[in-house]
Amino acid sequence: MELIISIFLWALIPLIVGVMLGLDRIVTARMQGRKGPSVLQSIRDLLKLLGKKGSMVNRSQVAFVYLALALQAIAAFILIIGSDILTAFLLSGAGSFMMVVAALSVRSPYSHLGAHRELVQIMATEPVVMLVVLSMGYASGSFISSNLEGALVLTLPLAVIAMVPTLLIRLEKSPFDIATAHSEIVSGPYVELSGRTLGISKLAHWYELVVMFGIFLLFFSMSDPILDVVVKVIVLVTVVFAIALIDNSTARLTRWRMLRFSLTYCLGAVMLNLVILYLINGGVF
Amino acid sequence: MATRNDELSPWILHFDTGSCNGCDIEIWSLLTPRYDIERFGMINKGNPKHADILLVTGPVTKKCATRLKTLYDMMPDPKLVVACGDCASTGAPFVGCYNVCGGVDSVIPVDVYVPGCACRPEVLIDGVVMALQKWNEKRTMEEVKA
Amino acid sequence: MADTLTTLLVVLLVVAPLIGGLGSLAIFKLSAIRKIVISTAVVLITSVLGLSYLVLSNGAIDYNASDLSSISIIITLLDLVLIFAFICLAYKQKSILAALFAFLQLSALVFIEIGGVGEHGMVIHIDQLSLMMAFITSVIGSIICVYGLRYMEHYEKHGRFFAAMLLFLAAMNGAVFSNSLLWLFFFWELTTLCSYLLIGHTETEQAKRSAITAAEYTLGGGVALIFGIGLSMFYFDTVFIDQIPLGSSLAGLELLPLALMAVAAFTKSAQLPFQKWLLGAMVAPTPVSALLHSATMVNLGVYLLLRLIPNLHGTGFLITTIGMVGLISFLVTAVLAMTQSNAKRVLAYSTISNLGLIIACIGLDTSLALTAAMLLLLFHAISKALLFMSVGVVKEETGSEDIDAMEGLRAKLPLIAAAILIGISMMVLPPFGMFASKWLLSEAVTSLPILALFLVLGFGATLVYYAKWLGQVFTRGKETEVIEKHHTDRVYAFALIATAVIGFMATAGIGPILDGLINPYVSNVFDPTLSVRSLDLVSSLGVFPIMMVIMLAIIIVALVVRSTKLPPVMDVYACGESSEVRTGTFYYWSEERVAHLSQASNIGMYALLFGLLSVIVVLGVVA
Repeated sequence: MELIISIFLWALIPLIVGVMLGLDRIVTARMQGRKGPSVLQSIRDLLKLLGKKGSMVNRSQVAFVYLALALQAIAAFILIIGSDILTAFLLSGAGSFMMVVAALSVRSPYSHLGAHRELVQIMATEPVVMLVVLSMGYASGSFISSNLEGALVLTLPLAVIAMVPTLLIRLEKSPFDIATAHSEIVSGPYVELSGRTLGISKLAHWYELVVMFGIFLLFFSMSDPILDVVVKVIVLVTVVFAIALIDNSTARLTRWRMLRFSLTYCLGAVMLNLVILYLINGGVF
Repeated sequence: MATRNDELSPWILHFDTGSCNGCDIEIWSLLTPRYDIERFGMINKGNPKHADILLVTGPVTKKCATRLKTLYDMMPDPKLVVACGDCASTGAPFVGCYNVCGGVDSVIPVDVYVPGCACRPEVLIDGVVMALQKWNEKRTMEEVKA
Repeated sequence: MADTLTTLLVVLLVVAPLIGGLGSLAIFKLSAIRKIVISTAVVLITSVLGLSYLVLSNGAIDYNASDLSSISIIITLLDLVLIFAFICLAYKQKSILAALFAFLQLSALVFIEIGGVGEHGMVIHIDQLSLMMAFITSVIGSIICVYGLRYMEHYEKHGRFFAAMLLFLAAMNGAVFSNSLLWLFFFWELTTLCSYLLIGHTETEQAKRSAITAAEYTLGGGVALIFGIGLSMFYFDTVFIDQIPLGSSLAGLELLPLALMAVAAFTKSAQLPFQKWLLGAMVAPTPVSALLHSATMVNLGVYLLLRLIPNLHGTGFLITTIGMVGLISFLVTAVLAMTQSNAKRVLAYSTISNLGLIIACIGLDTSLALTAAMLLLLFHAISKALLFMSVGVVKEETGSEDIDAMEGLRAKLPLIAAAILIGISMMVLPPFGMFASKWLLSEAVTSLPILALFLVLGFGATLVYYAKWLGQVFTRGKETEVIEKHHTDRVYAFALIATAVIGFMATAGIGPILDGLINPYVSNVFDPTLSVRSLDLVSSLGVFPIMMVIMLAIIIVALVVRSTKLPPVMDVYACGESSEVRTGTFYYWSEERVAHLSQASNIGMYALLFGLLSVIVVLGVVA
């Protein structure tokens, strides 16, 4: 029974991401003094894309995009059934790897530029999130998400803060919308995807966001189920607002600035948190 | 009334084939808070492979013609073309010039002609909505073809 | 003493390649050499399979020193001959360093032999670890030799080449069977000689220089090893590995022999700061690189460390420092690999990096990490063999080893593209690559956070350099574009497919490998925590068979992409233009910066190793 619910949830969770992204678009529009689209707009876009036949450049491109979706979806499923977060994260990383290879597998200047920028983004986010996941596991003594301690945010506050820029990078938001910079390299890695294949890649990206936000929300787990949901929704909405605000008030960085920022401040913050925790556990404090 | 998902999220590609930029400015003004076409789910995509509707301005200079054709071919079916402004619709004052084709329809099929020099943003929105209504026809035609 | 069949198999594994080698040396005709190499390969593979069956069903095989005293004497004599050969070689190449190292080895060896070696112990001990190494050497090594038969057709001096290749296999098998450190030393030096001959095979100026550099570095490692053996005689009064006391009982100066042996292992495995020789060795023909990187040479260093695990376990700062050396090598060379454009150099750096990872696992000194180390060693050998052989084929077909020149390989040489994809997946992607990383990471963070920091950065860089390469291999224009398809030679196809099949079998059979090969060795030191069950994920809903799900997903994707009506083919977007597009990759850093980083890290690592040895000495003297 629980399994059926999990599968159901897994199939439905892209809708939640879609609503979240739609909310983000409305908030952005309001900040710019516009009315903005419907909250369901992102889902409509996705459905439209999935319904379109589109075109492809070559077969390997399509194959890698489907593979990316498969890996991201499995990663999201692992997270939803409350299993190992480290495995979920590594699988999701492999999914991003496949997306990069898909973008590189066409001989297109924009796609290649985008893919190489995406690689720098991977280099910037992967270590941070991996270390965040590791510190979560360290703090609770297990990587099984259902065994994680509640309210990890209290033990790992710096890790939570360090994850926000990472979420910005993964959401392709300014100042880190470097790979998909639409005004420079016309949506980068996605440029050669069209119709259904583009829809599949979007869906893969949504599942990736499920994993990222899933890990982020695990910091706010509460033992009381109702409180748990309430807290998580509040956190999610706050994060969406914060991200929209940052997105609208910053200009795009160069990828090296991003890399330096992420690998010094973000990684440093997680590391600091982890070391403090280590010292406390070791009985130094 | 738009109901289907593709009618609710028409993504736009804008191409200038040698216009005086008058119509282009009006197209860009659609993105501003005053007209805010994102309300209708429209997004300006700089990429034919993602776009559903092609907005063309200018009388199509001969240099641009092949590019216009390429961009049109790259758009996934079903696709729509809106000729924005007098130049794009007919070639207007440039008809017969040595270097222009004179109108978008001399290169690619056009679904909706939006008049005006420059075309007004309100009329542009109307034109796109009209184009969306043509969508259903196109789809049935495609189904028949298939 | 084991029964005749076992003895026959053991002897065959060492002697068959030796005879094959001598045979090819005597015969000049390639057609005859071909027969010899192929029959040697068949003998090696059957023997190692037979031996695996015997060891797995009956347990470890031992031979006592007293029974084989005559062979011990022969080996000592051969050892002396070998060192004299090195002295002659150093004289010929005018390498003072090599001469110095050879003289140091000679004096140490004479000193040890005069001191007398006890005969109460096993000279040969074949357990699961030896078996795994012998398997890698005999199977992967044989495949590479067969591959070389085709590859070397355009080269000269086939006899000498294949003699050295086969001798290499013999030396590796000998080394992993030896329990006596002196025997190990002999085979160790034999691999040095073989690598010298093979790297310098083409006899160009560059090849000669690289060969002598390799000899200098590895002879230096040999000095460390023989000094370690001498000190082990002095402190522990034994040359038998299994009689060296357990690590937890060691203190002070007694750690010195182990530290020296670890330094020797670092030179063989080309860890920082000794990486220069392996990079230089890239001038050798590709089968040599493949052999050095996957089946032999570099594995020997890691093998020695794995073999010494019971003695290193619990030595505190010694094993931690060993782990640090591996970890820093892992990170630095992963970063350097991102900056390289030559595929062989990328592979060279990635070899150092992956071996660094294995050594880092050893340094973590936990059950899970040790398991991960052994698994990584196995999969690394298979993956690197595939990748190197692929690069060799590309070099032959397109005349270039540059990653940039590999564009469109998917269309030109689909088999090679598939081999590269499989090789890379085996190291970094699920199902296998991911598990090893997972076990390792989860262990690292619990022992020391700083280790986790290095690991996550290194993993990021690893993903990047492999993605860049893989992307370039799969880059091509539109599907309908006509590309001249090259024909992959039958021998190459055989070698690649055989290696890939071994890789698949190893991935699918990871459970039995864990139970049969790895856990028995891990259980010498730790309680093995991993079993077949560990491949599934635990969740609140019960067990989730992740391995199966991933494999199923890959198959489904393949079927879907094959069967669904694919959308129409369209050219790439270039703002409406239709001009020819050429792509390249980013290399991030300039040569100068790369040189700076390698220099700085080398200095740092020399300081670290020197610091390690001096700390041991100082602490020992003070105590």
